[in-house]
Amino acid sequence: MSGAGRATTGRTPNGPARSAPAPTARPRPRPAHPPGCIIPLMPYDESMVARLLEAQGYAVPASDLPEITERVNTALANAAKWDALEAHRDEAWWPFLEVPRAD
Amino acid sequence: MPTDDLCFASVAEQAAAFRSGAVSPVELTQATLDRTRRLDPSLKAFITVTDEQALRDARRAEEELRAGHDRSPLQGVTVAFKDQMLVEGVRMTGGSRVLDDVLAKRDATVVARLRAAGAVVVGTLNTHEFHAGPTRVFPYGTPRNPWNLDYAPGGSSSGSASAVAAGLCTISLGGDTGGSIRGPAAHCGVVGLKPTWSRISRDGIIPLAPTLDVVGPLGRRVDDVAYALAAIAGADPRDPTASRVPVDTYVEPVATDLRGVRVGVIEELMDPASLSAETIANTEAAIATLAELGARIERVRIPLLPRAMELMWALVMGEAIGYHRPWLLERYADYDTNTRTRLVAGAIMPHGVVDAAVRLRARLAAQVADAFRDHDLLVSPAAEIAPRLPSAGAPTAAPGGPSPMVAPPTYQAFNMSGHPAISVPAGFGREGMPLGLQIAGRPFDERRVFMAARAYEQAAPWYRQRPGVGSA
Repeated sequence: MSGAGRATTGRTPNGPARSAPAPTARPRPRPAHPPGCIIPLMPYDESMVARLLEAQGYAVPASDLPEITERVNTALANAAKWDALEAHRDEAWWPFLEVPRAD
Repeated sequence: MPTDDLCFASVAEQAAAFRSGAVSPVELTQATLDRTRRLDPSLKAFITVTDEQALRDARRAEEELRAGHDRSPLQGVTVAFKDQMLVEGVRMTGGSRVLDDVLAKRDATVVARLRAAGAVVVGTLNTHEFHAGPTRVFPYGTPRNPWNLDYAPGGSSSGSASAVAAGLCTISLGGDTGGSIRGPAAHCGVVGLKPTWSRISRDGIIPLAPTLDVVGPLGRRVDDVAYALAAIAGADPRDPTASRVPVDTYVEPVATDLRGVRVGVIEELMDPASLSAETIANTEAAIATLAELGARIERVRIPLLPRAMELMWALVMGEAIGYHRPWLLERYADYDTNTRTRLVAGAIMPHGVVDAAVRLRARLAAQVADAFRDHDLLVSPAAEIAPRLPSAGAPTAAPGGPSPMVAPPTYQAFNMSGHPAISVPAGFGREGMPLGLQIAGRPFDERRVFMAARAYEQAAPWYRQRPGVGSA
């Protein structure tokens, strides 16, 4: 796009240098994943679950958060196991139903 | 015919009695309604009993038969529906307070087809909320098992199984996304069929996970279920996923031998780590009966089968949220805690999880299909005995068996692959609770599944035993 450009160190294309960004919170350490796992799925915590649900408009009581969080994390953990089975490397996986379509 | 015998008679017996004049449809319906009034306060099999409409239907069936208008063997036979199907003029709750004020304006296709066959609709049946289960607080009463009221009938088609088992209807329809027909059928000692995915129209039925959901019949006898399937199967312009594969002949004379039939026993479901020694031994006895009938028995492996339940839940969570989102936004608190936490977890689950589940499902389905290359049928235990209700105290594990709180993955592989599978009564376990044998077949080969189930039923007539509820 005309006029657009990557900012160089200490200077923007259209003005003086900006000050360095404020330090952010340290990112949470990533857990180790089994060898061969290609989907880095970090467990959710309740605060993340609450924010995601709020963003989607759900009015969820705090008492539900532990169970919702556990369900999501169970699915994430299972997906990591499935991923380790390397199903994504199987090219002949679609259509998955042997059932004939309507003729 | 004594009233109780009438309520427990098969479709064929009832049809013969109506045509000979020995019994009328009105007598059967009245006996059924009387029995329901007496027993259902304990069983909570029904959500709505349609007694006035049922008697009108019965009178019409009687008049038609007298005038020589013979619709089908189901004419005058009592039928009830899992409360997830539209039944005209009747509230449809889905087993939830969320829908407690919804009145159906028309019949679902399966309901309309059974009415057209002359069946008498006696009501709608209790279910786990939106067939997701396990529901914690049932708004329409906690369903109980007619063999022992301290036990659950299983779910989610709880009332569909317990009503048939207790003689409160001859046939019922349930829904099966991950075992919800076969499980309750096994727990209640009745026959329950999960047909081939797309064999039966799902028009007018609340969905859970559309790529897995099927509707299916339950009955006390294999042929009762076969009659029901014959009436409801087939293409439907209202449901584009209902297959146009021709509907087969399902009711046939009993085959007295199974010579030439190749039966594969699923090794992963005969694993003592997953099922109790009692259930495995019971299944081995049932398999021995199939062998005595001439079937060739071999072991077969489906290596991904142990993953089936966790795959099912990921797919359900991914597919169910879209349908429920509007209600969850408005009436979140009216959902049971189990249902709502599972649904909204699906709303925020990363898409990568569903993608991985879809791919692994495809591989599991391929393994199931491979198992049928050298086998005509696959068999396994249908389930452990029914779970005890929480109010009845902690469940007791079978000696040396796995925890009774962890359900084995006996059903879900056939939901993943779309193959038909039936649960037939196969004896009893501890505390006199029923056990079932699961028989699965190739897509649209329900005829062969019925053939084997019928032959087994004749050789091992467990249906002759009735639950204790309501006995003098």
